[in-house]
Amino acid sequence: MAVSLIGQVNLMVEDNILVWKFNRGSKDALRRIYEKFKDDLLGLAITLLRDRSLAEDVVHDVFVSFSGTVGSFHLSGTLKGYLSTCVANSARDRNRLRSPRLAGPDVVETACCDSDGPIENAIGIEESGELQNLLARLPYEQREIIVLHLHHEMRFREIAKALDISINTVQSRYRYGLDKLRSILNSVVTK
Amino acid sequence: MRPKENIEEFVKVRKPDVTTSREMDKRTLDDSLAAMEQTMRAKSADHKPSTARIITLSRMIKLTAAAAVIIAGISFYVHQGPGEQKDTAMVYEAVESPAEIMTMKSLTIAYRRGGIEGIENQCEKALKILGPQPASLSLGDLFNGSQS
Amino acid sequence: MKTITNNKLTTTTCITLMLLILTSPVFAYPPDPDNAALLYYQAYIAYEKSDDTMQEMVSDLSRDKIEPNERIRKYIENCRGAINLAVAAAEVPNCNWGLKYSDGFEMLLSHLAQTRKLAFIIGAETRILAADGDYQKALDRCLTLHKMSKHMGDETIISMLVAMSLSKVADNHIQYLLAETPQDLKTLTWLKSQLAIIESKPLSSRPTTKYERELSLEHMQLDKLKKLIEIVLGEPVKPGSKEAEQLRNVDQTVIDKNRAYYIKHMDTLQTILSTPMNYEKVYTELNKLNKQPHKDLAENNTDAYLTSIISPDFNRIISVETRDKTLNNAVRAAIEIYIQKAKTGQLPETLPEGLPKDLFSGKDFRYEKTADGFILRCRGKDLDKNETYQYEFKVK
Repeated sequence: MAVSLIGQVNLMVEDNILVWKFNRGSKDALRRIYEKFKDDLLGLAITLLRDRSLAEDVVHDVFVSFSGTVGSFHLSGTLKGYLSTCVANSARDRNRLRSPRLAGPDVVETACCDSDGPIENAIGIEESGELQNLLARLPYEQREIIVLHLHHEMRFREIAKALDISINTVQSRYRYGLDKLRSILNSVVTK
Repeated sequence: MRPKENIEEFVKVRKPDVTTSREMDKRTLDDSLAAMEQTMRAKSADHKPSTARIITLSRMIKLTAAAAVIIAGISFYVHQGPGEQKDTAMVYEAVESPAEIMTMKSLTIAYRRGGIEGIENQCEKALKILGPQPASLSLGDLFNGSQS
Repeated sequence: MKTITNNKLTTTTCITLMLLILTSPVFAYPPDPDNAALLYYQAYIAYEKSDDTMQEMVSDLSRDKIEPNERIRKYIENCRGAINLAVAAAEVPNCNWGLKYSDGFEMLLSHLAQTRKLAFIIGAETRILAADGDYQKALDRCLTLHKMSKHMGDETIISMLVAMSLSKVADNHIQYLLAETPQDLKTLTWLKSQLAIIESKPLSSRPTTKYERELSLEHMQLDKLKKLIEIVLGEPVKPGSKEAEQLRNVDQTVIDKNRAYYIKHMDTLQTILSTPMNYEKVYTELNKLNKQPHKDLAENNTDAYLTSIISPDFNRIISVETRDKTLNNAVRAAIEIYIQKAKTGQLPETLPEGLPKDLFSGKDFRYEKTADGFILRCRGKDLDKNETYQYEFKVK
């Protein structure tokens, strides 16, 4: 516990130093920030959008916008939380704009594979870790909160603030999302 | 029925293992560094539109590139050979050079960045580099000189 | 005796003839330039180089932030040659800057910076003349500034904007001088008529669309696309970069579609600008037009891309134009009120009819008498700045 806390504090200190350097125009700091969070953020965007190309665009846009704040960027929480929020907000905007006909072949890459049988599917979920197929069956709003909370370690209060919704809404979406996930998983296993 | 904790744990440990591609890294880093430089270069002006433009440009290039590949699959080295790269380097160097500072291009950039104030600042900058003439060239001094 | 008288007459005639020959070389002069630009270019090399402090002082004096001091007076005196050349240039009706339009975006417009600098020097001199009580000459310098503004021309957006900026400087000086000058009818009537002559050839943002269109279309070509992108981004597409590589993949079909979209966009723009409408309506229409390419692009219509990045935001440009012309109208309306005061000894109770209008609303200014003068208020709002202007005029 103590080690984990120290580790967390160290990470925050490192983030603050990176932000400090970034604000003074350090390109290395910007590269380091990108390297540090790029995979996590892309994972988040893919989980939310189920389209790799679109997800890449979202992460790209978030970093370009973030880079434009050099000299005046103020970090109030964690850097990861901030960037995750940006990705989530940008992905939500994209999701709203996206019409079903525009979903390209990338969607197929990560979408649920209906050709598999339920047992194989369940085993696939359990063993290969294709959680995304499962999460894809949840409404976007529920999926968003589950991923931000469980994968990106954001607190409900942080998520509520970032998404501009009440903490009660966040908690209920989270609860309903988990319930639905559980029922999908159970139905897959028991079939 | 799995208890809540189990479901949470189930989701938590199955965090997707995604890695960005080299291509994406290059595109994102290049554009981000460009946006960073732009903001730093003209801090006084509002640069958000430029950032937005970089994003739009990148998207347009991506879209048009994809369209070109699908529809025609033709490359245009015919139009832009190695000589073109030389030209780009020249543009890069010329943007800040005294001869270029008051070109239509520089002034248009200045206007796009800062409106009429942008043009005025560019004019100030131009005068500092190109400069008005030395004191000895004033007519007053010329006349004084001829009398002595 | 007679011989002596004849000799004297002959000598006098000879001397007179010699003097006439010697003192009349004017007939040998080639004519003065009939192109104002030639005189301005001479003025640019005839003013004294100033350090940053002096430049700031000149600018501050021109803006009424400081009083004239000995250093500035000396500097302005050293610029006398340049001022005289600029004054002479302003009186020449024709002004051809000899710009190399065929250079497109590479065209040099160095005269804009130099003219602006000269305008500050003349502005500073105006304040010195006012401080010394030479109001007539100070007002005359303001007219010079107005004439210089007209010489900037309205072929390009940039030159038109600089012209508007000079016109604003001139009007601000007149507004200041009207408060300082003893209100004598002769001077005011002269000023009114001079301004009317100058304003009979107004500059406008409308002609700029023609050059803008040609320039943009010239660059909307495969081999010039990179340069166009660099102009918009304000930085080069680096050789070997991803963008440079990807730009090579843009094909002629994409370019053609983008050109067609741009032409349609500019046609609409020119139609809006040539249709008689009030400011609010024009602004609304232009704003709508301005947003359209971005909207289309958001819907993945890449035909709109080049238009979205290069089409000028004319709703802002038309606002700058309306702002400066409304200030000019306020100044001219104020002169009429000062004339009434000079004639009757008191300010009118209501705004006289037929005065120049507030161009934001197309209506008369609201007129209000104050303890030390009067205020002219706009009825319409500057939609770009979200501001309603008022102009204060003091009466001695």
